[in-house]
Amino acid sequence: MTNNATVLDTRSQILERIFLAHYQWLRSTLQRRMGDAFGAEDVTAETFAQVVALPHPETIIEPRALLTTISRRVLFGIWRRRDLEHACLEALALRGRDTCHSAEEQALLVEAVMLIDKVLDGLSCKERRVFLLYKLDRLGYEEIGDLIGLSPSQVRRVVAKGLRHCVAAVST
Amino acid sequence: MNAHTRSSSDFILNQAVEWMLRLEEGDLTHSDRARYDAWQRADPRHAEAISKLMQAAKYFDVPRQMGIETDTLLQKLEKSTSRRKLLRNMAVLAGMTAGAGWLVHRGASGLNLSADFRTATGERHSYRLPDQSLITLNARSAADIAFDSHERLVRLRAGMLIADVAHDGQRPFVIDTLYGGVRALGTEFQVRLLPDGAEVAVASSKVEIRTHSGATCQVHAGERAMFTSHSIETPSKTQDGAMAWVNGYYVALDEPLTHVIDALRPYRRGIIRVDPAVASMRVSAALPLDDTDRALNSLASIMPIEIQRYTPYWVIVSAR
Repeated sequence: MTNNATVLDTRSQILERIFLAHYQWLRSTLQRRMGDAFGAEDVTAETFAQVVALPHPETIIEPRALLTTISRRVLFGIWRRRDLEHACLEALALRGRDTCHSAEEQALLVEAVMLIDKVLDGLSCKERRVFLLYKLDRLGYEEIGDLIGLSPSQVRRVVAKGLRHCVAAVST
Repeated sequence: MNAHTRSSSDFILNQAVEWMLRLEEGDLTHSDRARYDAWQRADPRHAEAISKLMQAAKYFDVPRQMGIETDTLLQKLEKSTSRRKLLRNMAVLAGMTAGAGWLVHRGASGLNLSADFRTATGERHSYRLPDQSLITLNARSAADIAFDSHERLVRLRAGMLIADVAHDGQRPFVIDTLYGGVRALGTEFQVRLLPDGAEVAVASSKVEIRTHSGATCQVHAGERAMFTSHSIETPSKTQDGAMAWVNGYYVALDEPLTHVIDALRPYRRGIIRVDPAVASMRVSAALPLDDTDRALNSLASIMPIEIQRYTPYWVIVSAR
């Protein structure tokens, strides 16, 4: 019990030290690069939130390198999300003249597209195409194989890989 | 112990995926079905994996259920999101700032996203605005108008439009985009939204571009310029025929094939995919927009390309 408490204490001390030593540095670095104080603040906060979630902060050797890496990932996530959101808005704006869409519908579409993107993350370009043809266009193995230049059994293997990614994407 | 748990969870995952495939293939016999049910009941982790697969499947159905054109989404989703690209994106971080501003701006306007003017696939339409200006929307385009006592604002949300601006000494006429605004200093010009910027072409008089980062540039009659949120390309001469779409033609002068196909897309339901091997081939042609099948055929007759019509909604352009 006492042991545990000591470990917790050390952990929060380590995090506090990292925060105090590097928060301003990261924020100003990001701000200089992004030219935007508001956005830099957000990215910095999210980056530290991810550091706090790391299982073993005591093993961090180069805090600034780590912070740089994480902040890039955070930025990239924001960038990608904005990209996809924009595509969703465009698709919705283009729907038939007589249909209107609600904020809920928009949120649902963005959520769905973000999940689909997560599933596709880690698949190669070709695998992405195969999986989208299967899932969105509902084509069969043979049809997809003809389009992409794979045998039906190869297509099936790629689809299986995509489905495994689905489980991982829904789990996190 | 950990390694064991991990490998058994991998094993379960593979089994679940295999069952899912069998279910979707739809050739389960009664005894298969019974085996599947038994498998699902055998371990709560089995049922959990299947339910996750079902859950993910629902997300994939959302775009179709909403009845939207998935073309743009697919193009974005197919692009891989590698680290290298991330680093390239980092280099243009200035763009993010403006983007963030735009999101906030959207939020402030109450997220009312049903556009005032909207054209469907294959449809062009002209609208007379309250000040007697005329805007013509190309197919698959959308715009909002927001006129007040200070400004005549048109927000281009998707696609492209031509504005023929009526004179009003009091209120400037501005086409606003995701990347910045284009202010009319004269009469007729065109604005087109592209995946990573907007393009202005001026038919008469001149316009002024003001990007979200505050950069400005004037573009004169007979010139065109691309701009993004943070930069404006030096204006260059427009091609004759840049605005021919108003009359139902797309005129290409030594352009990459993908540009030409992009111009046809709004006139066609479904998906046109261009094989990267032919995407950058140069082409000069005048193509009918209202008959995209004819347009594709005439491209195939002048270039070493092949048009595969998989279904009317599914066309692939590849090397012959």
